[in-house]
Amino acid sequence: MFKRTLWGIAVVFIVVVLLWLGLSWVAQVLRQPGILGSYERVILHTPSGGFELTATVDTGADLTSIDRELALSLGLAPEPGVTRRIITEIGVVERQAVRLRFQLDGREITSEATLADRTAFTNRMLVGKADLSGFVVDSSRQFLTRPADAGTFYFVDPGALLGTSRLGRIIIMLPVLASIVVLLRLLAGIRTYGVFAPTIIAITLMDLGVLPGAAIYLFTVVAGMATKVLILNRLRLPRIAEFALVMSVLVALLSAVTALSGFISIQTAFFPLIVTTHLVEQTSRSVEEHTFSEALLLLGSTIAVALLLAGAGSLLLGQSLAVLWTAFAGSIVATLVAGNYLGLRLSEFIRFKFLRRTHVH
Amino acid sequence: MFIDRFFRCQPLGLNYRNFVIREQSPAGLLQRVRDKNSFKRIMREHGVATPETYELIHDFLDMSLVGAFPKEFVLKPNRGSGGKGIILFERQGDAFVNPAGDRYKLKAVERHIRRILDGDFSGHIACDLAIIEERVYPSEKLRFKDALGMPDIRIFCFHFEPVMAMLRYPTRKSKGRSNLTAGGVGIGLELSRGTPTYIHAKWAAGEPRPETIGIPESFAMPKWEEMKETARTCSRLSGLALTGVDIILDAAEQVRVLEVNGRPGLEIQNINEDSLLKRFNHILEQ
Ligand SMILES: Nc1ncnc2c1ncn2[C@@H]1O[C@H](COP(=O)(O)OP(=O)(O)OP(=O)(O)O)[C@@H](O)[C@H]1O
Repeated sequence: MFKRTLWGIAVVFIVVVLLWLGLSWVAQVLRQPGILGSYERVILHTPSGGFELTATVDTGADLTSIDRELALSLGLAPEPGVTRRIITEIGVVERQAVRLRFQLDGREITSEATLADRTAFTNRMLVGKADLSGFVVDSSRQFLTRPADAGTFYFVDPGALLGTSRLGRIIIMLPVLASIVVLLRLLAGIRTYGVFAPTIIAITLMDLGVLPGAAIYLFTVVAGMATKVLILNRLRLPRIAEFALVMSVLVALLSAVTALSGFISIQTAFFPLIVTTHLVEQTSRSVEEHTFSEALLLLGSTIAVALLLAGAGSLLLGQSLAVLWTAFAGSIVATLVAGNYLGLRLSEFIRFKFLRRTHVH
Repeated sequence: MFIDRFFRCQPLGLNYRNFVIREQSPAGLLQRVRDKNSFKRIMREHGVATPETYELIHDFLDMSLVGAFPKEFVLKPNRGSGGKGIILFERQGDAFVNPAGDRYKLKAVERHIRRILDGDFSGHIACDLAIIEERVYPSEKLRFKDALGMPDIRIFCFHFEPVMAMLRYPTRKSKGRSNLTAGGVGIGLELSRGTPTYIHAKWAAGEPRPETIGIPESFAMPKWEEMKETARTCSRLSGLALTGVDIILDAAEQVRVLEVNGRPGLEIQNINEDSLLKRFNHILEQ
């Protein structure tokens, strides 16, 4: 049992590494040197050695600039008396300049950069037009190059592939949230309508904000259920027909609300719409299969778990990429371990209470 | 080992049950018992009596048959579980009446069949067959106070050997079916003699409590040895590690099998106030 878990972890690990290598290889083959994204890694040559950082590539700026404090702390002192005049929104200003040498996409670049206070910007360095001759910039993409080597094989940094945007982070988090649902089921015995529903609800709640999100869900779930109970149950249609109609009614209602109030836009309601239709279907199916109160209980626990996930997700979203990937790896391990747990679920301690009383010697 | 002792004292939980099924019950064989009608045929071929199938409804066209149904019948989905979608019918003039006294018009019966065919009662599959089956009446000896439908005997087998049993008794709420999830009442049966052990059920307020079923003190299941033998035969036929064999005793005191369950429920432990895991260990130690 334990051995199998270890095997499972090993296999997953190997698969992930192989995938990663494959991905790196593909990226390598597809890579076109000389094309930069809007963010790139560069290596600065400093008196104490190389210093790698992310720089913004900006063809709208003439000169390269670097954060003053960073430059000073790296021992890059401004040349006394040398200033550059640059044009900003507030007019022409004089800035101190510093001689910089850095590597970008395998090329050595020598530049004269201005010192500025860049603490408010995403990246503490900006590469301007003056240093971009010979490069093509595709500003819709990011991290297309490695600073030091143009030719040799390198590993794709999965964080750089996905984790730089909010959507990327949410995607990394998806399996983490799903595995929490699995843990709750296998260890605590908390049942939900599948893994899909609570995970997606959580993500939409994070995206729309908990309160507005909850409001939209409240609206769609109540409207969907009401449609099912008040209208569709009377029409006695086959189930598949009912759910196409639930969707139609929800879309009509949401468009009406959008048109009248502008409170919800039909776009923000996309996921709530899909998930709600799914939930209405599941709930009415389980009303048939179990009792009404059980079905409502399941709906309730699905929503409670979704709220929990939204909380966990919001916490994770703000963490560094390293934490995110650790959680990702941890969730794989946790799922494997929980999948091999053969003891009682927490809820079963309640269900079979007297059994333990009579039989534990 | 401590871990071993810990597990041994525990009731069988879902995690462990699913593990045993995953490891020892091949998916193909599980599918075979889920298809009630085919498995009934297999059981018959091996000399096990079952209720007769009058009609198998494949699609809406067959529905013209409904008007010609016999006076009494049971309508059930081929791949249902937990009593879902099963209705016991008796025709009274134009109407179809279930044991709780609800009257269905022909149209309503047709609609129910259509829902069965759409797979509404059959878990995650998209379509199903509807079975029109002989309605069986219980033996006089199993009719206690209120006989609303068909009581059945669930024998839980592990490695083809009976390990726990219960009598399931229908109530008004369960509409003549005896499934616990549908509202039936369970009565634990002592395995060697077939006498009642504990009486226990998940009852809601207002339902008949098990005591009111009026099972006599001295009750012992008639034909108990034959029932256990039948359970052995059927679980061997299924080839599954865990089975719940549903047995009925008809008015002529013939032992018949309703169906074999490949994923039997665990509530039987509450009803017998005993652990299945403990009973499994007895089997494994022999
Ligand atoms: N032919 C029949 N005659 C009389 N009663 C029947 C008949 N078939 C089924 N029933 C009633 O319906 C109940 C459920 O039947 P069956 O076991 O076939 O259903 P199921 O949905 O597969 O249940 P489970 O899987 O939980 O055992 C029986 O316990 C019995 O009370």
